[in-house]
Amino acid sequence: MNTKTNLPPEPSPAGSLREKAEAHFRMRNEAVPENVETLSPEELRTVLHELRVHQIELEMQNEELRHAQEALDAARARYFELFDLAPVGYVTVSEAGMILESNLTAASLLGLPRGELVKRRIGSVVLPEDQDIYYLTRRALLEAGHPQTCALRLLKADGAPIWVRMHASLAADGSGPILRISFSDISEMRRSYEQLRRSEEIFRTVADYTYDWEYWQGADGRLIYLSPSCERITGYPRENFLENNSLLKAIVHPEDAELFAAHLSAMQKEDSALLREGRAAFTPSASAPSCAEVDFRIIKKDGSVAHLVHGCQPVFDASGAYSGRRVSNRDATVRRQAENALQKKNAEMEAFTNTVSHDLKSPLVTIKTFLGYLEKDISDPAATAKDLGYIHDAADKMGRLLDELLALSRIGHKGNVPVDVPLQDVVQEALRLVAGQIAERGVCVGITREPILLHGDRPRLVEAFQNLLDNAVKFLGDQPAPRIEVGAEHEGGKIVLFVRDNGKGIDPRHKARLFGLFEKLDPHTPGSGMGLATVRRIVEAHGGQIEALSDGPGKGSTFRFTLAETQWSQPS
Amino acid sequence: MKKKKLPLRILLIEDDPAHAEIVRRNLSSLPVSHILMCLEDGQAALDYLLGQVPVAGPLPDLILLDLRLPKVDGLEVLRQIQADQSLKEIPTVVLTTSAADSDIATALAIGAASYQLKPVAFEGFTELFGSDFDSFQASPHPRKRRE
Repeated sequence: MNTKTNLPPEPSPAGSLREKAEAHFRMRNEAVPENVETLSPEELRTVLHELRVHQIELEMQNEELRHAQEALDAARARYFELFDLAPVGYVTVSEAGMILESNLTAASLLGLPRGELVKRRIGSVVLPEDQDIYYLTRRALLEAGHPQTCALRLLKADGAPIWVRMHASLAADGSGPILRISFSDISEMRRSYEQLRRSEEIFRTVADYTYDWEYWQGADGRLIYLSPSCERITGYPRENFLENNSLLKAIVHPEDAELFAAHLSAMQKEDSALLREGRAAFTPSASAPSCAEVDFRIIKKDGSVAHLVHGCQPVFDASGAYSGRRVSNRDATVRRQAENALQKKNAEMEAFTNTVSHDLKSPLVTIKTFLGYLEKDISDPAATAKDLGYIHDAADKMGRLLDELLALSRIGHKGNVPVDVPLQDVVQEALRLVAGQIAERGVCVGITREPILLHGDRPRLVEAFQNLLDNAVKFLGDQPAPRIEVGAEHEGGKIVLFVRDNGKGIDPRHKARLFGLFEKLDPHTPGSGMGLATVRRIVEAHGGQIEALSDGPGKGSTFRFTLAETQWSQPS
Repeated sequence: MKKKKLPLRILLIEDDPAHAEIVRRNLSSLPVSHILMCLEDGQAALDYLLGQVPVAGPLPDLILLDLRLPKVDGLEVLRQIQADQSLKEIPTVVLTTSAADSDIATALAIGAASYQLKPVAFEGFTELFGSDFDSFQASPHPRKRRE
């Protein structure tokens, strides 16, 4: 039959469909009219027409169904592709951790055929070290119910780890919760991150372990970075500076505050041009204020003073915009102290050389000149005797000067073994050596009873006190109740010893020359003029310093000095 | 033709008696008999020059000044001389054994007329007083002591 061949292909055999239809027909009890033979040709034509229309309707319906089926097939293929070839790996995992489904991307990410991935435990593809990350994420997902994200390493079939970002959400089938998990490959990102971390570590190490105190102050004046070494140099931890922007200014030594303020204002002046024009406004040259080092002192947290060498240069970002100053503070305390000491020593040395050459040349001038006169006067006995007298005196003077010079140069070189000795013992011994002058002048001497222990070359210490006492007695003037006091006082953590008298005092004009060589400020007093120079040498050889104080002529004088290693001894 | 010289009033400030004697002998050997006055320390010299002690007669025409002096240092004496309007007119010659650059520079800066090192040779002094010394002329009118 024609009509039959027009029917669309059926998945089931055409014959059975026909039989099903016949059965249906019989069940409906719609018997073929018995009187078909009685139908008029008109009636037959009508029935036939009806049947033809039905047939066409069925054929059209069938065609529509076939189109729908084709569209469905295409959609299925598209979704299959969408799922399998998505740029992320996708798996579904049962509550028990079994991989139920996987897309191709997930399989190829792990280097496995899809068939092998499915039915494996999810744990077997996570790097052992990162299992905890997976389980913690899974637990959070099951507890909270909303999607969770983490980064972990999966284990590829060849054993290589691969960094992925895992996103997990929850779904359910009839039997229980299902985990839908996507993985995206973030190896590249991790590599950049690792590089960044390493480079950050390098720069942080460079910055945090600088020996000098380094910082970066932004264009707005706020501290961006400060090296921890600030604590070594100032005693203040980094946090103190970060919390208090003006701490540096606050700890600048008052005597250097003006200098530092001038530096800051020079920087500010430069800043305005730099802010406006950026790098173009800056030419590194010796004359640029930024390139000049500034030396100033600070007061450390413990109250001590440190010398800083401060340099600050402008910095610019990649676009050339001004982004503040990079500052370096170097602790130059030790160097500066050594320089000062050296300078002082050099000046002393020069003064010493000048003095020695002058003082030794004087008698030489006399000797040479009078030898000249002697030649002329040789026939005149009286004149000869006079000339010889001058020559003798000058030669004697020269001999004395050389002896004294030699004695002075020995101080501090060939010393005796240093010992601990109570101050009182030293002073008593010195007093015995000047007892004559003291008794003659009727001087009342007072010695402190403080238990003070000196440490050093005992005979030299006695010599120092002897010279000071001798000097005091010499310059008592016409004081009716002469008094000399030997004592000690605390000053800035040190013990300062003193010898004080109520004599003539010191003319301020003489102060500078007081401790000089061969300085006899008063030609009418006895002595070589070496006494105080000797005292100073002894004090300095014992790591101390000496100064002379006086309120002026007639007001008495005080010689104050320190000796390293002097201490209050504990009464036993 | 050399102009005939007037005798000078010379003040020597010198603490070493031997050196004072040398100056005295050199002056007495010159054809003009100058008048020499010697003071032994810086304070005595200032007292005299500034009129603190009563001294008869006019101020000196020339001062010979040693640098290392008791009581008041030679440079300080020079400083005070130069600070005084009438005393600064007197030529002050520094005569010393100190060859220190700082002394020479300071003395000349303060206003020393010249800086002479004491010669370490007999002839040196005779030359010093025979030649350079000629340039210090006596002033035609003796300077008046301050009121």
